Amino acid sequence: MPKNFGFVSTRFAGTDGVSLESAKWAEVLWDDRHVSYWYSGQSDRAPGVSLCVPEAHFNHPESVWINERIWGRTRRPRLVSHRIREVADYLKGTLYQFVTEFGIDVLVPENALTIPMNVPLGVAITEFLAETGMPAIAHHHDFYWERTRFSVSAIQDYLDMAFPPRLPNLAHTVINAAAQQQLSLRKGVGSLLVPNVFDFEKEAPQPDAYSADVRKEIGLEEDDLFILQPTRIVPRKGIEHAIKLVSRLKRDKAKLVISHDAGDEGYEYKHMLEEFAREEGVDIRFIGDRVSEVRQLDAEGRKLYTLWDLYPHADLVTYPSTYEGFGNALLEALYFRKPVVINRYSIFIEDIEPKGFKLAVIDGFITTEVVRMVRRLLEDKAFRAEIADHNFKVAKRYYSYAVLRRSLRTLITNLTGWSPKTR
Amino acid sequence: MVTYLTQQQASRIEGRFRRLYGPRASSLLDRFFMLLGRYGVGVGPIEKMPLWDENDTVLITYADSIRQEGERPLVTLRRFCAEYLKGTIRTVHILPFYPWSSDDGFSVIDYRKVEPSYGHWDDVENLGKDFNLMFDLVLNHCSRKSAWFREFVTGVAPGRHYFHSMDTSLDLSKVVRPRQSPLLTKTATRNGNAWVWTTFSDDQVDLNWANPDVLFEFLDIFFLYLSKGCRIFRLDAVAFLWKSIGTDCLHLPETHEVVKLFRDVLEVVAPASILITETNVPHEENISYFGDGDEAHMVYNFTLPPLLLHALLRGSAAELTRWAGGLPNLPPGRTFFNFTASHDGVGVRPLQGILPDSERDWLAKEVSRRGGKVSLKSNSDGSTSPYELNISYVDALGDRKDEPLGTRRFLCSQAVALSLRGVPALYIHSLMGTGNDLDGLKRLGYNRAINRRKLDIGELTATLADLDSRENRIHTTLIKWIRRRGHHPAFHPDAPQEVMDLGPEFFALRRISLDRAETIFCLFNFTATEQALPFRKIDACLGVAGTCRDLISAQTMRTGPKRTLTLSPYQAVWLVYRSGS
Repeated sequence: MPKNFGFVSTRFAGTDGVSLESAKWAEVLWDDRHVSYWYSGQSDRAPGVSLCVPEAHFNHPESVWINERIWGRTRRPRLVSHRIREVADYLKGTLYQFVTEFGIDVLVPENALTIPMNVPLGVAITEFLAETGMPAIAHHHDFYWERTRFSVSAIQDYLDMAFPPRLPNLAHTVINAAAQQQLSLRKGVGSLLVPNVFDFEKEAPQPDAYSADVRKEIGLEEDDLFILQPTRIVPRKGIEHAIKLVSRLKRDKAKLVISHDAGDEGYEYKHMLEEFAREEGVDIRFIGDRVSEVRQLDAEGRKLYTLWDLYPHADLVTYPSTYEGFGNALLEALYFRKPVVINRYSIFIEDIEPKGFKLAVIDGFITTEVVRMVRRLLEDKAFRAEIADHNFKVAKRYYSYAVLRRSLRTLITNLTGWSPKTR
Repeated sequence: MVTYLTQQQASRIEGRFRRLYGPRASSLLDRFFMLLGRYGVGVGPIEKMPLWDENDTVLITYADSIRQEGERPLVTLRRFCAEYLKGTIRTVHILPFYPWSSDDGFSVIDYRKVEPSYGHWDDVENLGKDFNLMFDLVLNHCSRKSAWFREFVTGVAPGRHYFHSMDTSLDLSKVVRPRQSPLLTKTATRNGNAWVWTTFSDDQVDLNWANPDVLFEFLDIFFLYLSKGCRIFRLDAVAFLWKSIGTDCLHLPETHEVVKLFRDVLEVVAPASILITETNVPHEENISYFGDGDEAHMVYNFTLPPLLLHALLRGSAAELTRWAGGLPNLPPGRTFFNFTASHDGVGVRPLQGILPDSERDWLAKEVSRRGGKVSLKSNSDGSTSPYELNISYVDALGDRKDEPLGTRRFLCSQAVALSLRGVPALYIHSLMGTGNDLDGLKRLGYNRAINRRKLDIGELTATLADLDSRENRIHTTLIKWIRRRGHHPAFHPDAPQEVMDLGPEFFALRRISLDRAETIFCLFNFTATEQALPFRKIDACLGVAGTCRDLISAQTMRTGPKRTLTLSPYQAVWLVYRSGS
């Protein structure tokens, strides 16, 4: 029986993991005739199926004001408690409105009960679920205990209550095994591991008329070696390893292209990278001003490209992160059948590596072995194709929509007793 | 912790929501109730304090009008104000100090931040320790470079609904606006090209107030500014706020309703704070923003700067007297913001219906003759006419051949502004006696730059210390007058005013304190020659033997039936009568 699913988060917009994965969940639910609706503080979802409540955004000024007063300290002013409760009560009202307006049957809190970027929203969802008993599936991407900036707080009471809550009508899903273990240990609740997925049942799109000129537009020549770092410029992305690798490849025509901007966590890291690239003699290009979530023209009339426009043109993808909650960029690169250099971050070691991918792997620093492997990937076309095929098959087996479909059906049946066959 | 909202306040605010947003009123009231207490605003019992008194004077300045190399301009401003103006000026109006992209601050990128090159919020709050603060609320439009507009372009809510995306086939010919740039500006968005409403320039995109999320953005900003110490809110270009296709989109009822709503909100959370509307339009339209005592507390007295300038240059106060005599007798709690110069030019549109066009054009020529610029607007018949005079008010009234005389004429104008019923406001370049900035005009290429000079604090303080300088004469005189004014309850903004017609050579008015214990006769010679006037003609009480004291010169003079008051060219006097006993 088709049901209405209400996804709830601080933001459904852009290319962050929560926005991307929730859209995939909706796509898979749609295949089972379920309809998804969206509640968030910032939204790029269609107006007819979404409710945007600005106060729910983690960047809403009140949320920022609260966050400035609850992290990195152990006591909070009375006014902060007052505001958390006032905003939570208001947000709860808007959740009731959302559920009524769209006839929601199952609520899907997307990271909103996981990372306390908007504490009142977490409290609101918790109370809403406690009051209504509505079946809900919390999709946890990254818990607060995984981030050092949340390690000292003045809101342990609210964290215990709502991040995440323990409620009989609330099922939990996590994206990696470490999170599953920690959730069990800290909160005493079980969860289902639902990794991030990709539609490996479809082949990746190839360049069309719009994206045919990507190389030229971003300043690369036809015979340049296009090495793509498809991430934002923040320290945990380990971009200095990509620079070192390109340096050691000793290829004159190699260009290291960083697709996204700096700024989320300041510009010092970017400046360090520029300096390091200069010292290593690496040609590094920052093209964040030419990359957008959708194809469009910028204020100067220049074409903006999506990441998917870039991938087909890349010769190699670097992903030397020191930490990732999962690693969507890895799946994306494998989807486009690109050779990948990856650093062994903890989730990769525990969850992804055992699946049997063939990747150029670094373990904290660039070795001669990895340089040799990358050279072969770049120079030996047959080897490159063989590796790409292998990786695509492995990814399809473990990280395709079919995997997600099975998980969601199980969750829905467990929570509600509904099953696809009864529809 | 308690937030207070009486049943009466709640139903009034809900009524406003209903008139603006229809059936969503009830949920918007919930949202408003949630807002109470944000940033600590509206929590606990709210004290009701007087809005103003005779000590209220406002300084209008940019955050960086005074600079010192290596120091944040807001720190420099505070330093200067603390040393030169503390105890004299009560309120500092810092013109938009938020990150901006054009129009010297009025194209705001982020309303919640301080432009980093000016300083930090702490600097603003520190200034607020010594002075009341006045901020701009630029309601009508924001910068194309704002995050809101970026959301519009990328189709992300809530910003995707914050602007007017127009159908170009609509007839918008009735829309009234003060610019010649295209009303609609083409913008590439995620969903194709959109034509957005741009009243002032293509960089200043009009906000869609029919969307309650826009209102709540500004209510949040309003609360933030209150929490930072703002006491007076200037509602910039508010007349254009609401759009309704088929109308002139000027002063629409919904626009007034939004002003009333802000007033209601202030009554709930900060009843001692003040709303001032900035509507540079003909006088009657301008004062419509007083509403029925339920809109602005203050309106800019836009007619004063051009009419005063005209009267002093013509040497005849006849029109000024006629106009001032017809000003409404405002009840307490409503008053004029009496300024003569500001960061903008001297708008001449408010002269409409007061002076014939030929006199307006004469004034424009006089301004040009004094090195100023005249900004023109296009008329529907293809002709052009002046809409703004760009010149330093000091130079507009100056005299190249006889500087002391010109200085006296300028000071006379300021004495008038200090005397009229209302809160006087002095632009920094009037208070410092700064002349036209011809280099700035040339460098920046727009007319208003002529009166937006940036002053180096070292040079400024040296000039002010130079006893022979025009700047010293003007500054010290004005400071003295403002201080003296503050000791006299007859200058209370609510104290009645009676304009007297003593002939075109004079402008004269009587101010009477609220308790009627003090009467001050303010007389000004508007000519370049000495003028004599029998005391008895000023008022019967001055026609009997006794003395009166001129507060401006601190001189005592004898009055009586045969005694005469002699005023030197452009002299101003504030006479307080003392009986013969």
